[in-house]
Order: sequence, then C-alpha cells, then structure tokens
Amino acid sequence: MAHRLYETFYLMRPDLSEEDRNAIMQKFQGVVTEQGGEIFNLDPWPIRRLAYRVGPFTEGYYCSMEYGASPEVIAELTRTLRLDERILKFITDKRADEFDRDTVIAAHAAKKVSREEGSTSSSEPSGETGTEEE
Amino acid sequence: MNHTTTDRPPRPERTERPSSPRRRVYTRRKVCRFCADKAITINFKDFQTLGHFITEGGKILPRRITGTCAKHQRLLTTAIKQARIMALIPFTSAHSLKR
Repeated sequence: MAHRLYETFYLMRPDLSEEDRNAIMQKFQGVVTEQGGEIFNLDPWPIRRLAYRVGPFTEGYYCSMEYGASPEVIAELTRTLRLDERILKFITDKRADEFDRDTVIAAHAAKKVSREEGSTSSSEPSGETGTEEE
Repeated sequence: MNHTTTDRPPRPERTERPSSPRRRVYTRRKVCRFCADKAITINFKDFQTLGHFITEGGKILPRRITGTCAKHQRLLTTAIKQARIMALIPFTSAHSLKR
C-alpha cells in the first residue's frame, strides 16, 4: 500500500535512564521499519515539565518520530505503544496522504540547515551534524 | 462643451465627514499571522507559538481577538487540543503544577 507521511510523538516516564530511552526509541523505530516504513527524523527532547500531572509524574521525556509508512503500520505501532508501560502518552498525526521520499527528506534537511543557521551561526557547519543521525 | 472653473466660486476645503452618531472606532485591521508569514507552520509540538493563542487560563482565544483567518484557526484549534492531550499546554490553569 502507498506510504503516507506520519508523525508519532510520545511521552516517556521521567525515571528512565538514557539507555532505556534509546532502547525504547529503537524499539518503535523497529516496528515502523520492519513493515517497510521509513523514518527520516527522530527528535528526542530533553526532560520537560508537564503542563499537568500525569499519574504520579510531573515531568517526562518527549520524543518525536517522523516517517513514511502504510496505514497498517500505524495499527501495529499504536498497539505496541499502548502495551508499553514506559510510555505515558502518545499521539500519531497524519501529515500528508502521500509520502514522496526525496522531497520530504530534502525539505527536512533544508529546514534543519535554516534552523541551525538562525539559532547558532557560530557553531560547526550543518553538514557535520547532519551525518550524526545516520 | 467646455467647462471652465474660473467663474465658479472657490470650493470650500474638503474636511472630514461629520461623524455619524454611531461611528465605528477605528482599529488597525488584524492580519492572520500564518497568512502573513507562510514559513510558520502550525504544529502541536510548537507549544511556544500555540501559547500566543490561549488565555492565561488555557482557553483558546477567539479569532476576533487574534485576527487569525478561518482556515488557520481550524488548524490552530486542532493543534492546541493535540498539545493539551500531550501535556504540553494545560487544559486549565487549575491543574497547573506548582513550581
């Protein structure tokens, strides 16, 4: 089936170590890629105070994952997210009905470059940081 | 026909129209922020931008206050609600966490 452009944003418990968080991110990346999905952006946030209490927690780690996948992948990903008790909240947003790999990746790269130039022009060139994601 | 103005008395200086009893107070036309700058996209993760469109108490501000166009207000509403679900912005200030 044709791929669509999705974004899944989830909230992890604040008591997780960095290793645990990386493992969780790997896990969900795996769910998407196993079924032919393609991730083009993974953006873990530093720990953040929540706007309201979620269970006993007042803070947590957010992570955003942007990918192209078929609708069936979403069902499976949603199921795994629900089963995982380390995930407090999650939301999946369909950004576009079509996933054109090249244009999306190009647009994402361009956005990243412009953001880096705007915020920290003194830091290293964006080409260096771009490769870290691989 | 040749109209000449020489024989006419000079016209009085044009002045402001006399104000009608229910004259509208002139306000600057508000422009939709998202139409003015196409570079800004509405996304639920961008809680800083969304923060401009909610009240202190966490309510969504009406279009007549913010000047947002109908199309973008719809997108904005969705984004604010998504951000609320994700605990990025509060549903109400009553549940806000004390620092």
